[in-house]
Amino acid sequence: MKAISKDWWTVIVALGAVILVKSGIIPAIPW
Amino acid sequence: MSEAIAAVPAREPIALPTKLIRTLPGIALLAVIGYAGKLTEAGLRDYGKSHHVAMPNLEYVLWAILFGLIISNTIGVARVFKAGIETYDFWLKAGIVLLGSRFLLGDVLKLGRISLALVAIELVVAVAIMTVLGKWFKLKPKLVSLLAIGSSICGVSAIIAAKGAIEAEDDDATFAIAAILALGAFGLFAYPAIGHFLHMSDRAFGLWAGLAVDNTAEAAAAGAIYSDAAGKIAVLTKGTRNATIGFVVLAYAVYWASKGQAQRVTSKAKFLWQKFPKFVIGFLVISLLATFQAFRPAQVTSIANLSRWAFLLTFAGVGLKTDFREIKKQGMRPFLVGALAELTITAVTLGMVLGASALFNL
Repeated sequence: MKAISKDWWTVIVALGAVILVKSGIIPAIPW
Repeated sequence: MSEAIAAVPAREPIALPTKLIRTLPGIALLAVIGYAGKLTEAGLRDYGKSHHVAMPNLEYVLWAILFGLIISNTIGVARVFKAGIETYDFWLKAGIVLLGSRFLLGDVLKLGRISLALVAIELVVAVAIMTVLGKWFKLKPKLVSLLAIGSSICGVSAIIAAKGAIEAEDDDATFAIAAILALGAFGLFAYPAIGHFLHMSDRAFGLWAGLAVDNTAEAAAAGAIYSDAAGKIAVLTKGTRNATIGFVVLAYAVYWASKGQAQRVTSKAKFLWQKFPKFVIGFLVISLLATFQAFRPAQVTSIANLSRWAFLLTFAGVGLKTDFREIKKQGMRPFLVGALAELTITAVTLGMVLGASALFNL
């Protein structure tokens, strides 16, 4: 199986984080 | 490049969990330096308020980069941190994807159109200037190609992409990266000062930073130092510039192949897709979701803050990765050529942005 490039991993991780925020699993993130 | 790989004895592939564990010390260092920058900004602001003293308003971005620069150019960075520091590029791209939540697709398209037109002019001007200066100063032709690609598109990623495609030497690529990062570091101080002096709007400044600063992380930083809104525009403009990476690298690959000094590109479409920065797609997906109101306002704030934390790690990495000693190895001549070209590109892009500003009321 061809490995996923690092570039795609950044997209997958970021989209994963968005899904977690959207579903409420990650609570409000302060700055 | 292939010879270099063949010369290295075969090693056992490292398992993914081991690779991830090796990045932890460096990521922790990025977090400590980035957070120290954030604390310094807040500390100075509070000190100024409580003592009624006017303190310079320096963003955490600048502090994080400055702390990183001091460490990398004095005591240096221990080997154990290297793998983690390399992840700064990962955080940058993840941060850009998340930033998509703060853009509506209409704005992206509108600004993207203006950016694309300016980027096209900037590409031609930057490549021409760097090539002419490189010839005048008798630099190695492939080093000139790397510097031209680095200054016209996106510093580090473009140089790395081009290095393989035009089969340039490791030393030339290391130098080109060091030069682009060092010039960008000066830009972080100079650009915002010029922007304030000219009373540029956030949009105009963001556009300028995205066009003129070569490294994506430094373009984002220069914008963020000016203002939050300028940081957003700088990232968008720089993203547009990055999207052209495949075309410029392909042109150079074809040129060097025609001279018999690089391998021929068999499938141009495949080449373009391989070099296309995939985070741009992620950014557009999130922006599309935000446009169709997939997120509540509180969720947009959380995603935007997550993007800020990712950028915090990135900015610490920019400082730690910039090593002025690398420049000494190749001598000052190539660096001077780079600096001269950057100065010209800075002036030309500033003129372009001021013109576009007046035309499109930015």
